[in-house]
Formats: sequence, structure tokens, C-alpha cells
Amino acid sequence: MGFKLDSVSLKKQDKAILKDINLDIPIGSVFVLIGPSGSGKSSLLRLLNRLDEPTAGRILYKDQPIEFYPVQELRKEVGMLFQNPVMVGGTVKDNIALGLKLQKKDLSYEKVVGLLKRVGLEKEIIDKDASVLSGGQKQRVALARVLANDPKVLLLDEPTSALDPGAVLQVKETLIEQAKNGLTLIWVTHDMDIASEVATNGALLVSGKVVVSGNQEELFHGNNQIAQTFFKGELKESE
Amino acid sequence: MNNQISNLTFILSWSFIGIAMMITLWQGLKMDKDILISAIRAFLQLFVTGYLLQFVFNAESYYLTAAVLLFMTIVAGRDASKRGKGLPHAFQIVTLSIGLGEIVTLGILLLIKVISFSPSEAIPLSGMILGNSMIAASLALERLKSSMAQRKNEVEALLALGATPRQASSNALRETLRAAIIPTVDRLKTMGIVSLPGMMSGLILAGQAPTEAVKYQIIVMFMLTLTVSVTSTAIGLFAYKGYFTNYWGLKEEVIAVGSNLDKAKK
Repeated sequence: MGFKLDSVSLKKQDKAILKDINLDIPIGSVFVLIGPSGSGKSSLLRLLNRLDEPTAGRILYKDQPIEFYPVQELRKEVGMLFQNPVMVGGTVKDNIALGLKLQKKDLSYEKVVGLLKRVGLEKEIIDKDASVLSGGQKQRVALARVLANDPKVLLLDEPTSALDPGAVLQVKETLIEQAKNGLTLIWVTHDMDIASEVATNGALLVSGKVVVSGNQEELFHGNNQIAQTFFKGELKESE
Repeated sequence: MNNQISNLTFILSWSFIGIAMMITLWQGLKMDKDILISAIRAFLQLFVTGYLLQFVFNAESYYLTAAVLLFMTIVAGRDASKRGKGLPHAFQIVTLSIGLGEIVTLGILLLIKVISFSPSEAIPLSGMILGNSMIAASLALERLKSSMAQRKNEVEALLALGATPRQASSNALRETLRAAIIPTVDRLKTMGIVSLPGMMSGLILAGQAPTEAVKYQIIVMFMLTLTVSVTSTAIGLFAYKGYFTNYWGLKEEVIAVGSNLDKAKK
């Protein structure tokens, strides 16, 4: 098992964000987290690399409590891509080499070129100022930066929602490539087309609770009433 | 200029306040009461301080001098830490940082024999050191707060890549130090051209030759540059930890409290 969430709850300023979540996220899956905005999808994702801690329950990763792993090691193995890619100052290469630089290591030119290729970018941009790239390019540089840490799992927090339509397609395809290479993807999205296209497994969250979870068939074609209302587009905001 | 101020002259100096009050009355600012009360407060505070200092100077005791310096440091720490609202242990962090600035600067002044540890020398100089230290501390706290709020996404992206809190906040820390130190450096640049600083003016008024007064002023400006650097660096290095949980996440409640961005949104 990749991740196992056992009665996980999260409160912030006395507001219940997640309520008694039980989930299994298998290794090698593309696990989508869907639900109305404010349903707790991103909050759940942030628990998996310990950017936040649950207020109750426990999270297992590879059958060990998540606290068992040194947090730095966990975050290298469980990488994260955010909605808005942040480029730190410098070139594309500087950005991609950042994770290793934090560990006082160097990333060779060849490896940077390899990573650029892996995310579908031309090697000509390697010395370009990262801040002038387009949104889609930035997101793919951010992905290459995460991949440089050689992660086994990618946490994706709406990685395409801030991009223009053309870039959405490129980033989505690049991410699917990573899944084919054996990475586990845990993908928060509000885009049902993406969700149904990429998911092998997933869960629907409404108001901080898991309404339905399982493989693609169980998620999208089960007979849960709330789920069907949501897929019809009649369930917009969480209470 | 007389070195002794006569009582009559002193009483007549209230005419400054009287005229200022009349101007505000004339302009309909409703500040006359405020000016009068503030002036009386300043008058009483300075008089009490004058008599207390006279007492401490006459006592010539190391312990008493040290106690006065400690008291001044704590008051400075309490005042400056108001800018750190929401930050855990703000008072301790600020007082310690201001204290460090004071100890290092006063230590060097004693070591190179600019002054001796006598109350009439150590206390007024410490007043200058602590005053500047306080301003640097406030600037540093303000900037750290706004930088961390502004750079929240960057900090989290770095943490998620495996950065330590120190690494993740390094840009915010750099901004903090620059913001706290720049005003002092700028003041150094224009010193003697734009403004004749207070200490030098005071010495000249008290009858010192300008060439002698200049020497003191140079030492004071140099020492304040050090004070400000030490205090703001200490603030940055002690305070950034307050923004992080012990498992290296960002404390959202600390980021949110009192940040300018947050206020702007509301």
C-alpha cells in the first residue's frame, strides 16, 4: 500500500476541514481527489507530505506511520506540484538544480537536459531566465525540479488550473508520462474531464468527508446519490 | 548661547507649545488638548529622568549602572515587540536581540576606550544604542512579517522540495536584514551634509569645538551601524523559527496575524 489514511481529521481555527477520512491509495495508481471547492481536497493532499498535520487519526506510508520518516526524506520521496509554480531567481537550470543544491549537491548539465526532455521541454531554454517563461513552461520546469529529487509519489495540487488551455494539455500529458514511468500520482482537480481521463482510482470529497472512493468504475459509475448529483454538476459548493 | 538656562527662560519656553496650540485651534484640527497633554507628559518624564540620572551619576555604582541598563533594555524590548504581534515569544526574541546589540556595541566602546563604564558615559550612549536598536528591531519584525506572507508560496514550494525552514526562508531573511540596515547606511551617506546629528549639535551647544564634536559623532555613527546590524540579524535568526511547526510546515496562524497583505485583503 502507498498511503493509508486511518480516521484522519483536520481542524483549523476550530473549523472542521476533514472529518474521519479513511482511504487507501495504492502504489502505482493515478489517484484523483475530486469534489466541490472547499471540500478539503487540497488540505488532504498537504497532509501527505506533512505540510500540515492531522488533528486526529493516523497516516501510513508504505506501512509505516508517516512520522517514522525524517520529514526531509519524506518530502523528497513524495514530491509536490502546486497550482502556481514559483520560480526562484535565476535560470531554468538553477531552478531544476534547486532541490539538490539545498542538499549541497550538484546536478550535472546532462541530467538537467535529461529532465527537460522528460517534461517535454527543449534543452535550448536551459540558460533562460526562468521568470520569463510561459505558465505552462514554468509548471513543467517546476515538475522537472521535483523529478530531480527522484520521487516515488507526486502530489498534484490542481497543477493545470492556472494554465491556458494549450498548456493544460501539455502539462497533463507530461504528468501522465510520469505515471507510465511508474510514479504514483495523487491528483487534486476540479476538472472532471481530466479526472475521468487520468484516474485509475480516486475519491470524492464533500464537506470534508469521503463520499465515495475506489477504482475508476466505483468512483464514476457507482450508485451513490451524492456522487451522482455531483457528477451532474448540481453540487457546487461545500456547506 | 548660555550653558545655564534661567528659570524664567525655561518657563517662557512653554510659549512654543502655546503658539503650536493656537495654530491648531486656528486650523480647526482639535489637537490643542493632545499637544498640551503630550507636552506635560514629556516635561514630567524628562524631569523625573533628569533627577533619577543625577542620582545614579552621583552614586557611581557599577551595579546600579548595570541595573539601569537592564531596565532600559527591557523597556525597549517591550515596546519594539508590539510589532511582533502573533509571533511566538516576540518579547523574549526582541529583548534578547536588542540586548545583544547593546552588549556588543557597548563592549567595543569600552574595549577601545571611547568611554569608561561610568554612569554618566554608559547610560547616555546606551540610550542612543537602544533607541536605534529598537527602531531596527521594529523594522525587522515588520519586514519579516510581510516578506513571509508575500513569499508564502515560495517558502512552501521549497519546504516541499526538502528545504529546511532556514533554507526556505532565506530570501525573506535577506529582505528583512536589508530593510532594517538600509536606513542607517543611508544616514551615514548624508551625515554632515544634510543633517548635523543630535549628538554633535548637543556637544557644539555645550561649548565643544566642532572638530572635537565631529570625532564623537563619527564614533557614534559607526557604533550605531554595528548595533543595527547585530540587532536585526538576531531578530531574523531568532524570529523566523516562529513561523514554522516542529515538523517543518508553515504556521498559517502566524503568517496571517497582522500581515499587511492580510489587512489589505480585509
